[in-house]
This record gives sequence, structure tokens and C-alpha cells, in this order.
Amino acid sequence: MAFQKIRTSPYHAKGSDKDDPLKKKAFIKEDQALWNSFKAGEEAAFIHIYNAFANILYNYGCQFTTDHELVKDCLQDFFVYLREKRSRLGITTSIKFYLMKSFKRRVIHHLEKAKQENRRNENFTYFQFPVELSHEALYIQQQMEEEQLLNLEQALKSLGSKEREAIYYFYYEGFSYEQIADIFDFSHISSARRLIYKGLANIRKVMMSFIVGQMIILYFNSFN
Amino acid sequence: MKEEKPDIFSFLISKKDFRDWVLQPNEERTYFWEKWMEEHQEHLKEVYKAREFIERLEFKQERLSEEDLNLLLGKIIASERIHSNPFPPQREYFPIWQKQWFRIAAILAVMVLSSVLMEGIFRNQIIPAETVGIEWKEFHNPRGKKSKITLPDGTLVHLNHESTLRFPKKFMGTSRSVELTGEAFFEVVPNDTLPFIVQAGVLKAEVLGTSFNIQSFDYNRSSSISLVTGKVRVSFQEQQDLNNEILIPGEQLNFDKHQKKALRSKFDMESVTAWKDGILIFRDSGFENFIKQLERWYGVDFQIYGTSKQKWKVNGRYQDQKLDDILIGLKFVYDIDYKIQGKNVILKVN
Repeated sequence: MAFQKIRTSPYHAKGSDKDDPLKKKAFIKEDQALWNSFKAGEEAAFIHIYNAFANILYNYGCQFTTDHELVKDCLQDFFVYLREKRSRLGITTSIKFYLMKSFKRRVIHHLEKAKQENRRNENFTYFQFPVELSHEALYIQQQMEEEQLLNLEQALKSLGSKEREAIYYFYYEGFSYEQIADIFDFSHISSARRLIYKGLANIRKVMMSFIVGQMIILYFNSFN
Repeated sequence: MKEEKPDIFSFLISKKDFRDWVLQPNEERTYFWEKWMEEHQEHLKEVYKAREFIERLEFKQERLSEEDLNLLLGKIIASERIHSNPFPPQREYFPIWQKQWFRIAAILAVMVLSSVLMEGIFRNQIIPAETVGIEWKEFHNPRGKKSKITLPDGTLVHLNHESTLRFPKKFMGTSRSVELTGEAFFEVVPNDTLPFIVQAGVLKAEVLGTSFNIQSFDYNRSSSISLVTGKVRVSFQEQQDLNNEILIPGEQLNFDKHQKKALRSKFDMESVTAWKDGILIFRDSGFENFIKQLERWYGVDFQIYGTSKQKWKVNGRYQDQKLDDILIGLKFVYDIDYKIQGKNVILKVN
């Protein structure tokens, strides 16, 4: 294979079984069963959930802010809250999604409170969901040239934080468009699609201008 | 003409099925997309670009250490108990030994830190004069981690676990010199005028564009260089009685650090180079050797209870497999029980 990956995200690390259609049902069942045992007060189920998701949530929270201590505090509060309210929590078929969605609410609430108390002046959404393109030469058959990578990266950086957030869900967490709509509280899936497309449209422009550029070079070379 | 050509790149990167194939390939997806590529030969370049784009996307990665996670879990569980208990225990209560323990830990930390600094200073002093002014880069892999590094000249280095590679940010002078402890596989970019030199302990390998494997772990009694393609000249630092050796492909040179002896032999290509492709191979491995390899490969610690009545002889080839899967398989052959808890593995041998 020409492509080799060295990077892993929680989505990659979960293994490919998770959204294999044949096995998907089994996973949903597994998630449901685990969640129900947790709700029933089983301590082992809680520890299992904590071990599986604490770092995913921490990493997710850190996308919203550079204040890691705040995220850590949120994480503690959040799990304490889950334990206290466990019998009254809703049901879910995807624990990860359920946790991420309610954790997001908590992090944003904390951030806003901190802002009101003037403890922080982190108004720069620039820092939220920073995304980059790896420049590592990890491909034997590299298709993109350094210059193009830089241009693409610039295009990614010029996106709004919402668009970057959507890209994070789509490529890093492996969410479906449906889940993306849900976590943004959109009532239509089409809004989630639009958000991704809007982000990607910028990238497309860079790609197109590059293709045109290459064609021009080819054109001039044909004279020599 | 531009309008006629559909924008395949955008189409692919926003398609969920394509994303799933790139990030989580399985048989079914690979089949589908390879067929698609066959039928759309003219878009092949775009497919590769779309793949590359998705694979290169990187977000900030933050993790809490195992220790932090455990500490936090303790706080979470404790805070609920305080909450539900109408007579909460006095929270200020700290036994004296606990304070003492804390103090000792702090002193230890300082000692460890200062010894690290000392080593750094010491290291700086022994850098030969010709390398002063060159900025060095260092990559270190702990247990359980492997990585690929591209050097300034394009040479690709697969660095194994528990290994360190040092190289200048820019190659200057008359050679490309790097330093290695541990194990690495080199795919050297040919350059007739600039020989590529690897210094690994006593061994020094000098090459002119080739691929080879060097193993030189401090914990191993012998170091070795195995040549896959090209030509390598091996010399020995501070070993006057040993002559330089020139290896040909398929040949391996073993250096015994105790006896200070070098031995040439043929080697089995797959078992020497498999690690760089994520393949773990056991050939008639005894129990101790087997456990040690797993510890290094997965970065775990085994706690072993009991001794085996049988003599172990493990054979197997594992590609990108979870530790759990290997141990499950082993249960069919040997009478064992095990439990994996994060980085600790409890193994009961009957």
C-alpha cells in the first residue's frame, strides 16, 4: 500500500469493527448494556466507562480552550454529575456521542461563566478546534507538494470555528452527518451537510487553483 | 473544459463512505473503492489526493496521564461519598506518613531531574569539535511505540520502540552522520559524494545508498547490522584488533559486546525486518523471551504468578493485533489466565 498512517485518533483507535454494518448492531447492544448497568449502579460499569471515555472527553474539551485546568475541572464535575444522576439519565445507543454532547454543554457553560467573571479574555475563537495538515513525508507516493500543502493549510485556518468544529466531528471522531446535526442542535441534517460543504468549499478553491496552475505550467512547457 | 470535469476531490472528501474507507479500511470498503478506481482510471490522481488530504488532517491532541486519570477518578468517587454521607469525614485529616511520603517524592523528583541535566551537560561535552555549531535533533520512542522519521536528505528511518535517533537538522560537511541507540531500519537515499554513517555504540556503518537494519540495545549482549540491499562497510570503534567488514545483501554482522567478537552470518529477512511493518514474530520463543517481547512491543508490564509445568515454545506472526487477541489465542495452548488493566497485565500460569 502506498499510504501508511502513523497518526491515530480515538476514532481510528476504536478499531474498524465499530461501524462495520454487520457488527454495528452488536456494538449498539454492547453500549446499551454497559450504559444500563451503569445506570443500575454497577461500579465496574462506571469504571469501564470512565477508562474508555475520560481521555476522549478531555481531548475534546481542550479543542474549545487552551485552559487545560478548566477542562480538567469540567471533567471531574461532569463525572460526579453522571454518578449522582445516574438513575435519571436518558438511554443511549452510543455512549461516546451521549457523553460528548452533554460534556460540550458543560464546557461551554464553564467558559462563559469564566468570561463573565472576567477571569479570562479568551475571545479568540481562532484557538478553537485548531486543525493542521501534517507535513511529514510519510507517503511513498506523495501526491501533494509542499506548496500545495501550505495553501491547503492556510485555507483550513481561515475557516470559522464552527466549520472547523464540524470538520473535527467528521474526520476525527467519525460522526455521521446526523450526529453532527444533533451535537450542533440543528433541526435538519442538511444544515450539518451545509456546514461541512461550506468548510470544504474553501479547500476546493485551493485545489482548483492548483490544478489550473499546473495546467498553465503544462501549457507553457509544451512550447519548449 | 474545467466546467465539464466534475470536482472529484470535493466529492470524495465530503463522502462518508470514502472517509470511512480511508480512516477505517476493511475488506468490503477496499473492494468497493478499488473497483471504483478501476472504473475511473482518469480520476486516480484525485483519489490519491483526497486520501492524502484526509490522512494529513490533524487536530490538537491532549491527553491526561495514567496517573492523572487515576487521581481524578479517586476524586470523583470520593466526592460522591462526601455528598451522600450526612456526616462527612473531616477533610483536613492527613496522616503524617502521607506528608512524609510527599516530601520524599519531591526530593526524588529533583534528584532525578538534576541527574538528567547532568547527563545533558556531559553529553554536550563529548560532542566532537567538528560538530559544534550544528543543531541536533533527537527522537526517542518509549516502550510500545514505533515511528517513522524522514531525515533532511530524504532518508527514511523506521525507529523501533525503546530507541533513540540523533541527527543534525541539516547535514553539513563531508558525510551524513547519525547516532542510534536501540533498533532502526534505514532506507538510505543514494548519494555518491556524501556517505551515510550510523554510529551505534561500538559499531559504525558506512553506506552509499542502501537499506539495512541495525539493532544495538543496551540490554542486549550483542548488536547486529543486517543488510537488505546495497553495500555497507562496518567498522568498530576502539577495537583495534577487528578489521572492517563489508557486507553483501542477506548478510548479517553480529558483535558480541562481552567477548568483543564479530561474526558474519546469513539472516532471515522477515524476522529481522518485520517489526517495521507492524508485524510481531515469534520463532520457538521461550516463556521469558516471549513476555519480554510483549512488554516492549505493547509498552506494558507483566506481573506473573505461578510457574508453568510445560516448556514454552511460542510460534506466531501477528500483524497489528491487540495484546488481548494474542493472549486469548495462547489460552488454547497453555494453561493461563490473564487480566489486562491499562498498562499492567496480570498473568497466572498454571
